[in-house]
Order: sequence, then C-alpha cells, then structure tokens
Amino acid sequence: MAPMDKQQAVCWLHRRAGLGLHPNDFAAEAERDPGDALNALLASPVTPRDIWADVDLDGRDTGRANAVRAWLGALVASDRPFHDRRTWMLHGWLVCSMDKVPDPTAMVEQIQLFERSGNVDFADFLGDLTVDRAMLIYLDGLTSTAQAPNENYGRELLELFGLGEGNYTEADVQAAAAALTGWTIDRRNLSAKFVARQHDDTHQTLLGVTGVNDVGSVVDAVVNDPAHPGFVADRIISEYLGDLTGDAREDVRNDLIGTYAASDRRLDAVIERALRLGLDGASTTVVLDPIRWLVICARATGVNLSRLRRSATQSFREMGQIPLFPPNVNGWPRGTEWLTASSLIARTNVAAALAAATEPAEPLRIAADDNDVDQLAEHLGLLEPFGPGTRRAIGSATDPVGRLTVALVCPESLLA
Amino acid sequence: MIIISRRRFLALSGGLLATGCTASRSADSTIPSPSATSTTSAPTTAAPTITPGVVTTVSTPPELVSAALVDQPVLVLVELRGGNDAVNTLPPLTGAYRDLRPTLSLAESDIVMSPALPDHGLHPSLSPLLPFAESGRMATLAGIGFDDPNRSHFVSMDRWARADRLDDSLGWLGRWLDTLPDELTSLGATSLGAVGDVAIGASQSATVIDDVAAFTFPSTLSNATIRALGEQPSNDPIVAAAQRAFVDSVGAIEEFDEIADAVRARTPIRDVDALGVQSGAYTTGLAVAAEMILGGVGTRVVTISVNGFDTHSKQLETHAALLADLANGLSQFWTTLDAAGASNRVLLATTSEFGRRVAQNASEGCDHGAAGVSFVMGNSVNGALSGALNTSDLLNGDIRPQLDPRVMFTACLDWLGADVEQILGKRYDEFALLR
Repeated sequence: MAPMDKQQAVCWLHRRAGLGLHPNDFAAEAERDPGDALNALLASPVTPRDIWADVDLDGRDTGRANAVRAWLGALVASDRPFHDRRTWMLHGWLVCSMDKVPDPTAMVEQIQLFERSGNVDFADFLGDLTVDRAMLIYLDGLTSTAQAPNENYGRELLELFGLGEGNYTEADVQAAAAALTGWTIDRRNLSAKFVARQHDDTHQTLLGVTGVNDVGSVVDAVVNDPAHPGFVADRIISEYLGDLTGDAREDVRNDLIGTYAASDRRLDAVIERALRLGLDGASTTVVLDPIRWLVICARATGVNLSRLRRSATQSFREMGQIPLFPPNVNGWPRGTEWLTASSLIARTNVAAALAAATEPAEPLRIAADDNDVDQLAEHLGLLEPFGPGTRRAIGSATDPVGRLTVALVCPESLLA
Repeated sequence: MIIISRRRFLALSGGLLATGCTASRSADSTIPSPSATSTTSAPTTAAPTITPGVVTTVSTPPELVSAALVDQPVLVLVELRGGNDAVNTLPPLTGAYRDLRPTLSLAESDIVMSPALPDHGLHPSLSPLLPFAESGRMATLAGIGFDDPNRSHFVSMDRWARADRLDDSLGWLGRWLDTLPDELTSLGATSLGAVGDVAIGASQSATVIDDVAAFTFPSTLSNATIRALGEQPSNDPIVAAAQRAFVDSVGAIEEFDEIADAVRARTPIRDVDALGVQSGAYTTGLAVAAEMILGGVGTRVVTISVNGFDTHSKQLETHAALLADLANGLSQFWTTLDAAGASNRVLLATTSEFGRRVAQNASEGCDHGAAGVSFVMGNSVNGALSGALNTSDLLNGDIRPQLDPRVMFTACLDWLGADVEQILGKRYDEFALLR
C-alpha cells in the first residue's frame, strides 16, 4: 500500500481495527499522531460495562432476538471499539451459533469470555472455550463419552481453532476426542461439569505428544505444535492486514509469530504488532463484513438502529450476517466472498434506511444537502476522496437522501 | 416446449444484453443469429398455448425462439451441505447397518423398499422420490466419493467444487462459465441461498440470490446511479471487484424483474423475526429455480445449497426434516417442469461433501465419514442404482468410495455441451449416466 499520511493513518486505524467514528470524532482524531491514536485505541477500557445487564434473555425466540439486538446496539454505542472489534473477530473464528445453542445466556457467556480473552495466554483461553457451555453444546462435547466419543469438537479444535488443515492426522482427531470425553453441563447451576466415569482416561498420543488425557494436555499439545503460532498469525493478518503476499507476507508472519511467543500468547499483543506493521505499509484493501459495515455507518450517521422500521432490520438478515448466528463452524464468508448481488442489494437497502433516518443536523446529512462530495468521504473517515464512478453516482442521485445512500454503500465505503 | 412471453423475450434481447454493462458481458454480445445451432430442439410455437398449471401466452417471434439463450439445457445442482448421512438416506438392507446403529438406524417397517433399488431402501422422508426411481428418471449413485477421503468439511467441499483439483481455486462449473464470455445472461448462472463454490469462475461466477422478496434496489436510487459506481474501474483490484459487483447486480435485477412476479407468487414471504436457518429452503429454492427455467431469462445453471446436514447429534429428527424438504421440493420442481413441458431440458444432481460414519456416536448422531450418495434426475438419465453402501467392508469405519464424483461431473458437463476434457483434464465415463 502507498505510504499513508498522518490523517490517513488515523482513518485506517479506526476503520480497520475499530468500528469507525462519528464525523466529529474523526475531525478530532485527525489532529492526532497515529501512534497516539493507536495507543488510545488499545488502552483498556476503564469503565465497566455490561451490555447484557438489562436484556431479557428468557425464551428461546425472544431471548435470541433480544441478544442479537443488544449486541448490535452495543457495537454501535461502543466506547471500546478495538476490543469490541476483536470480540467480533473471535466470534467469527471460534464459532458457535444460536441455531444449535438454544439458550441465549450460554451464547452471551461465550461472548463475555471473548471480551476477557485479549490479554490472557491463548492456551488458557482455549481451555476455557473447550468447556464453555455454548461450545459444549455446539460441537457436541456435551454428549461425547468414553464409550462413544464424538469427534466434532476435537476435529474443529485442530482444523479451525488451533492448527489448520494438513497439520494433523485422523488419529490426532480421535485422540483429542477421546481425551476430551466426560464433560457435560450441570443442570442445576448450568456450569461445565466433569463426569469421571464418562471420561476416557487412556493416555493418548496427540500431535506427537504422549500422555494426553485431559483438557489441559490437549490444549498444550495444540498450542505447542509448531504449526500453531503461524496459524494464529495468518488469522490476524487476514483479519487486520488483508491479503498480503510473497516476501511481505512472510516477513509480517514471522514478526507476528515472534510477537506471539514473546507476549506469552496474548492476542491483543499480536494484533497491536500487526497494526504497527500495517501503519508502516503492510496492508491491502479489505472488504468489511456486513455487520462491521453497518456498525461503522450507524456510528457515522448517528442513527439508532432500534428506531429503524422493521423492514429495514429485516434487510440486516439479507446482507447475510446475523450476529450470534454464523452459518457453520467455519463462520461467515470472508473478503470478496461478500460481494454477491444478494448481499450488495441488501446493503444498499440498509444504506437507504440509514440515510433516511439520519437527522438533519448530522454532519453527513449536511454534506449531502450541500452536495459536497469530498466532505461526505471525509466524514466517513475514508482514506481517499471518492473515485470518479462514485462521484458520478452521487451526482446522479436526485436528493440528499439518495446522495447519502450512495456515499454509505459505494465501493469505497464497503472497504477498509 | 418453452413457454415465454413476448414481453419477457424482447426485454431480454433488446433491453438487457445490449446494455453491456459488465466487463464480462460486453456491449457487443448479441443474441446468436437464428441459424445458430441449438443443442436442444424445443419446437417453435407461434400460436397461443395453454398448458395446465402455466397461465401464459406464447407469441414469440420465431427468429427469437431459436436463439440459443432460452431453450438450452439447464443443470441444477442441489447441495446437502454439512455431510449428508448416506446410510440413513439409502439404508442398506444387509450388512452391519443395524449393529452399528442401535438407536439411529431406521425401523425396517419405515424404510421405503422398491425393486428399483436392489439391496437398499429409501428414507421414509424420501418417498416422494420413489416414483422417479421406479420410472427410471432418477439415478442413485451409492458410495460416491473421492479416493483417499478427507474428513474435513472444507477440504471435502473444495474437492467436490473443484473436481479434486485443489491447486485451482475455481469450481468445475466456473471453469465452464469462463468459456462462455458472451453467451450468458446475468442470471445465466445463479446460486440460490449461498454462494455455490462450484460455480466460481475466473471471469464469471454465479449471481447469488438469497431472498427473492428482497432482491430489489431501493426505489430512491435509479439503476443508472448504481451502474455509475462501476465507471472507471480502480487500479485496486478489491475496489474494482466491488465496482463490478454493483454493475453485475443491476444486470441481475433487471433480468430478475422479468420473472419476479411469478417467482414471488410461488415463494413464501419470510418471517420478519425469524433468525438463522429458514425451514423449507429446498422447497423454496427449487420453486425459484423452476420459475427461472420457465421464465426465459437464459438460465443455464442453478445451484442451491442448504446447511444443516452436519448431524453430530440428535440426528433422526433433523435429518428427516431436511430430507422431507428436499424430496418435496424435488417432486414439486419436476411437476412444475412437466406441466410446462420443459423437463426434457433439465438435469439435476445432488451433492454432499461426504457421508457420515456408519457407527453412531453417544450423541444420537454420527461423525464425519467418507463416501456418500448422490441422486441424478432427468428424463435422459440411466435411472438405476449404481454402486452400493457396503457396510461389510468399511474404510476406518466409513463407507468406502467406489464411484468417482467426476463420473457425475462428466455427465453434467456433457449435458451442458461442455468440453469435458478441457475442464476436468479427461473424461470420467466408467459408466454412462446419461442415455
């Protein structure tokens, strides 16, 4: 990527590693040194926050809908965008879905686990996740016994959570599954419970490590496998830096592998390092997933999503992404896979609803009223002015709402 | 015989293709001349025709009907995503099936038996498919799967989508789409529900339509405004891809508008508050597919993918519901095409990345397995059972692959008139799936 000036660097940080900003905040941030802006983003939130405190999670259907709304609302209102964006990434990586986890509180507890996970040893986090209630349900650890182990979690732990395909054998899958048998959920207090008589205590050989027979030893075998740090680095690169290739990628990858080890496997340290390398140019354009795009647009326009008409919220689903409902264990599509007709049309409808709901005093609406194309791009925190196609499209719109709709959904706005 | 309204047709020929709005579908792309050979021989009809179940009149100029767009063969691929449990889909009547599944095997009295499926039965949810098996309109491929099976969903899905060429990120249908730069409409290849990886090409990929009710741009923006977003493509390939995607979307919507009323009339409105996977996805998707085929929008390929077959736990109920939706959808699909006299043009095949472990696990489900079962439907198939689900000679507990999926792909590509050798490297015709 071409070198960024200071203002571009700040915009890049907030759109890539945060959740965007309101135009007034972008204006203030633009004065800052990018390093300071990054440090401010990374700073641990000081005010405690419980986004689920007043949310009614009872009832399978209303509870699930309330959970989705509450999380989306919290992302829009976020005062800790770096951390919330990292939590969002983890939800799309270490997947559970309410399609299979009927109790909304189990999913909420998992999201809370993700919120706590940035500054702990990834091995501890993975151990907690292995016996997390939603995960025990979603990947069937709950019913996996010594007599008939269920391979679902063991396989995805190796393939999708820890190592990547090609770095383990079928025997490893079976060994991990056997060593993780015996975990269930205590119906009284809804916590994970170990039932020794359903556990296969045989010492397994997992990834060449002998004597593996419990959660701790399974997780240790995974995180100590030579393929693991590179797997984590690849994930962070694709999430935060885009599609790096060749030597540039190798250099960044090795750097992040080193950071991972040096930081005692703390994800936030790896992400921070990735962002510093990104500020130095190790970055390619990425496609924002629908929810991040929606959140960035809502924050930019000041629109309260809960005030939108029902038809608009239905369009959220048509974009192809409902928080807490990933379609399968590999999460949502990624990158240019989002550029389908179906998803783009839905995003355009959502943009129209947001534009119509933007208050007259909002900076973006004023820029649309004034037909000020450059101001629209600047208010959205874009790194560059709109390209000629988008300028033409905005110019052809017949009213301010149409101009703002185009500005929100144009290619430049879908990307970061 | 193809039923198509003149209005639709003129819009297709004059209004849409000539707009030439995409890089891959240039403005010079024209309707092939009347002399262009058509690979099927649907008769031309100029007189008004009434066909049961289809209310439309035909007043199509003869020179346009013979245009290659409308009456060409169509392939529909139906994906059972997650790894369909073959042995409960097509329960083997002998072997270790019952011993390995003490509570997960189907009761003998529930299994649908037929002389058309020797040594096997059908899941009761699939009973709507029995007439197809018995009339020879459905081939059953038991034990289909690649050698040296991989039990990862994602590796196996890639092997199926790419015809086992993992060095190549394109789907085998996508490779074929790439050979048709000027011959496809925007809906020429369409994926309903989710992206069909099989139809991802380098220059052309399937248009994805999720909910047909929502497949329309906001009324506040003109198509010209959306199309302008694609002007002067950026040097950044990602920006350019997004620009092109908008232009392609406008093209798809303009074509879809031609059939939108018919499609929406036949598909249920989605529940506003429904979250997650929608039930009835096959029935809805196949109804849309049938309308597209009958609507004269140049559709050659439709893919329909539905999640939910990854039945590690509590399988019986989930699997029965999914198969019932599939079978009902298929049955209605062919009824619609039969009524319109269009079924000769259509071949349909089902795919799934793998079958499941024969032995059940402790969760009333079964884990990832190896070979599975596919169905191929159409008036031209050799409607028989090929292969077997042999539970007496398992591969690490799984059904051993004995039919290469590329035999099915060869038949599909033959059906489309494709150059099979160019796309698959060679022909796989160990047995003839098409008559």
